[in-house]
Amino acid sequence: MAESELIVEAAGLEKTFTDFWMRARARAVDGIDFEIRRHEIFGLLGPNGSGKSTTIKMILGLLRKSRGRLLVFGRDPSDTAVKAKIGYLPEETYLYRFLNPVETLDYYGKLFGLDRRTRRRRTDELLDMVGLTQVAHRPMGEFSKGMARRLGLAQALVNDPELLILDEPTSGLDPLGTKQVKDLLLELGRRGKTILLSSHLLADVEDVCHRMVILYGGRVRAEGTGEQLLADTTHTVLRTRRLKHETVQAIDALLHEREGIALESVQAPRQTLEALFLEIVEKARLEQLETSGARSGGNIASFLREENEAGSGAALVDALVSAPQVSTVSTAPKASPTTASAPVQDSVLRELLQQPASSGAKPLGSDAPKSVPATQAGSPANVDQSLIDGLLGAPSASDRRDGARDA
Amino acid sequence: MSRLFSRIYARLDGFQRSRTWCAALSALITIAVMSIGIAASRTASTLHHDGELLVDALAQASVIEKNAVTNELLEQGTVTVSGRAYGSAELAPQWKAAFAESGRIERVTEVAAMLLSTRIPAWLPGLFIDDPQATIWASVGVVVFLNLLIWSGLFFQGLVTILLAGVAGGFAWYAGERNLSIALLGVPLAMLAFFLAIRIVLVAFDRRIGMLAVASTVIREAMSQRIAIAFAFVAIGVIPILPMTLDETAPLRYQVQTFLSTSLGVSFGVTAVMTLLLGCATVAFEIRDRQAWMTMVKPISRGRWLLGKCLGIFAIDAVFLLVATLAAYACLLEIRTRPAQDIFDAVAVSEEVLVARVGTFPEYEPMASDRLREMVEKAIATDPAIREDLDNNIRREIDVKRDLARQYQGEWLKQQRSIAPGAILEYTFTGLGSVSRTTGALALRYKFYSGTSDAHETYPVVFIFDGEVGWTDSKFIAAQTNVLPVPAKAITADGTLKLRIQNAGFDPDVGESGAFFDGGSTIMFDADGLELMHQVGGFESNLLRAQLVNLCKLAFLAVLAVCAASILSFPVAALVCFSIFASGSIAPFLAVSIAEYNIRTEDWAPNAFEAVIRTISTIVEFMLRPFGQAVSTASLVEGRLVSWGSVARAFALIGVGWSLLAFIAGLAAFRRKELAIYSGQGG
Repeated sequence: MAESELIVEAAGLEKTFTDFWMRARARAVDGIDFEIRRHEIFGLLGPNGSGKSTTIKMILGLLRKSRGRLLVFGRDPSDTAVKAKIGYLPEETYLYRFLNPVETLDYYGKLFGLDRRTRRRRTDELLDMVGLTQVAHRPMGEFSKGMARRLGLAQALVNDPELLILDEPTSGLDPLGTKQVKDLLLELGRRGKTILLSSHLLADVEDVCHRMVILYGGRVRAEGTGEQLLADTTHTVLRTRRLKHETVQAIDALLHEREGIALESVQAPRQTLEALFLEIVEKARLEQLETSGARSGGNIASFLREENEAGSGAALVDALVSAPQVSTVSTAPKASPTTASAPVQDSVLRELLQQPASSGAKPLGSDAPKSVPATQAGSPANVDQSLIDGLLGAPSASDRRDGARDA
Repeated sequence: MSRLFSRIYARLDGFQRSRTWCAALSALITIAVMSIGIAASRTASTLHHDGELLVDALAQASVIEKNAVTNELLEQGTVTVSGRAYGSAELAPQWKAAFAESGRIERVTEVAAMLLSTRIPAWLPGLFIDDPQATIWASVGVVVFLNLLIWSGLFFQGLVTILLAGVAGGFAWYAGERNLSIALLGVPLAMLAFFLAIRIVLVAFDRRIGMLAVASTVIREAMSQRIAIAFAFVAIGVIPILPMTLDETAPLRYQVQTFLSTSLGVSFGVTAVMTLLLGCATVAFEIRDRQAWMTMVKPISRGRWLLGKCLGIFAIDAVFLLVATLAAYACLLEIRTRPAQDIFDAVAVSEEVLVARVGTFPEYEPMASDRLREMVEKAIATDPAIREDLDNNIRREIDVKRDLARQYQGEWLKQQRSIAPGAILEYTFTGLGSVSRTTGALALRYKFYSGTSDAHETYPVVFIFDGEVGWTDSKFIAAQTNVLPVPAKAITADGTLKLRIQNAGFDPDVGESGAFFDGGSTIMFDADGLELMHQVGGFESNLLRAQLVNLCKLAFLAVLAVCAASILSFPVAALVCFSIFASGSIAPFLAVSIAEYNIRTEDWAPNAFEAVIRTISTIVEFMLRPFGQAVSTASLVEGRLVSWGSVARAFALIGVGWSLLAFIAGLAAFRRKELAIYSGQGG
């Protein structure tokens, strides 16, 4: 990737807080190096106090670095020209309590120098997107935390930013809002936006980020793509329709014969609470029940859907926007444009099961571990294709998975 | 019920947002108001014309000739012109005093005005009689005001306010409570004007400029947090109530001066306090509550952010002063319609208070340098204490000479301001060439001390002018400002006025032609205790200039508060700002106190504390002196000219110079400040 495509570049970045007498009080960031490239969704992971927010504040120019190099769009972070390209959602809502959503977005729009017509259009679209149209003229001070977060997200997008910085974006949001934010991030990522996502909610980062660093004590402890960091090379998970006991035994026998191992656990998965919640809300919405709070958001604001990349046509945009949304959050990132893993077909499993079981096959015993691997509840796209290919005697599909970001 | 009202209100509010509705209402209102205005203008024109006829008639009146006008005036208290009788029988006894020794009425215009006032309708302000064209302009003003209400979406709110206030005021008027009626009508109108002005400012600031957006948000904050509204009620809303508090038995001149002093003083003081509180709060709390983060991560520099804050507060200040000035002026017009105690009281209002005058001090003759040198040398040669100091090198000779010269010069000048009983001293006022050519009235303003200066006694004095003007005896109240009208013809062609003051009185009952008698004790006065005042401008322009000076001071306070709060927490910033404001306001008094604050130098160590106090006070007084000296309201109340020069000085020094210094210092510190704080677990 060319140097010019680096959006954020940090090298030996250090931040030491001092007291009134200039004595070092705490070293929040201790010589970290990382790069955020254009069109990348970058995750900043770490427990509380690990230096995530300090790093973000330095990128935003709210804090000055103590040492090291930090460039944003190739310039110093305090440069106002840099800030024109950034949208920021802080970990808590710091908006004016006396302004209503329309006034809030209008205010920030003016700071970006947007003309009145553009401000009005974007305000309407953003409020519709985050589901606050019904409360557009209520002062922000009357909002619940979740509603305030939605407004915070809207203000972060009012300038159609090139770099979107989100600090704990799903904090305070209900599952509906959380799903919407994740969908939005994925959509913006597809549109070519660069996103810096900071969170200690690992699922948030895992679901949407291309690359991430894990901070602890102000230092980078791990860095890489999701696949690189999360790949569990010791287990394989298969997911299919419910199997008969005999079928499971046959698979176990086959595994014993081919791999010399036994199934560790077999479970009938339950529907997740999140999926159930989303289903109930969707049903209520279809029944047009009244709610005084935030509505479920509408489509992504049209100005955010305007294609930035050359060669992409309006038809593609419409197709993407009108495409049915993924049913669960966890499946969404797996639909990465570069991955395109083929879903496992039932016919493949059927074929797999038709093979004779090994004589030494160990039946599914009661000593098998009951715990379910973290990835077991994933979609068919989670299935390790190499195992299937291996079982079928086909060539390894690993070549086809270059660049894939499956967890 | 409340739901019904809410629905009606919502419906009406939605209604007035329709452009068609606004256009129709605007046309209707314009036609109605202008029709009333034209009718009022006709009435005013008739009265104005009759006023001129009254002046002509009164100019012919003579107690020597005893013509018809004189007889009617003295017997019935009226004068008839155009078939209409002006005046009343109750006024008849006082007209005798209006006739001078020449047998004619000396102040024809004032007598005509008092006669005319008896037939002026209560609803028609006297201002319109003087200038019937003003009726049309006032109508235009009302039309503009109502149209602004209509187009700013405040018409129904304004209409309800005016109707409610009108009903309440009408009841009070009907009950004979004129002042209460004005208060009931004036307070809501003043507040409505304030809301309207704020709305106009917000519309004007609605531009895609970051600084204006910040300013606009400050105004919204001040309004939604009720800070500006609460202070506006005290600074503006209280003005229509003030006429109720005036003692109507006091001379009209003092009523006018008290009202002006209180209304303008309160509005400036309250606005200044609001400026400091709002300036400190909006910045300090925004940084503390982190809303500032959200703005600082947008493409706006810290300097522009601070400027936006200053601009927003300054805009509120400007609205405060504008509306307060208009309210005060409207009330002043009403107060002027009150009856004066006598003709001199009426004259004093129009020629001494509601004018812009400048003063000229007499020229004092300095001591001849030869004589001064001789006295100093003699003192050095003969005073053993001085010789001892010089011999022991306690003091340098040059210092001794300088101190002695000052002392003798001061005593010499003081002698010229002391008039022994029966003695006469002459004073010369020069540079009055332009004054002699004007028709504006001259007045000698003097403040004498005599004997024990008992405020409950009067002391005699005789003023003798050169030429045909002659002399006049008078009685003054010691230690208080007294005024003597001076005819312009007392000034010679070269612009000089010579005045002799005799410490004596005149008793007309002694002998056939009366006799002079010596005063009881020496008359003394300060350097500014004798001043010849002459009119150079009108009250309205003086009021405008006085408020511009106040606005310059408020601009500095706004910058000071914003910049202080950008680097300090709210309590500390507020403490600093209020200290500076208070010190600046009392700087002139502080200067007097410092001069009187003597340190016993022979015992230095125990007085180190006093020395530190004096040093600090001197520095503070020196730095903030211009702020305290720019007291335009006091000048306005005394009828003194607030010159454009003083406005320019206040603008350049306080409004720009000090503000710039405060801004540069604040910005330099603020740019170094890290807005975000450490939120981790270390440290």
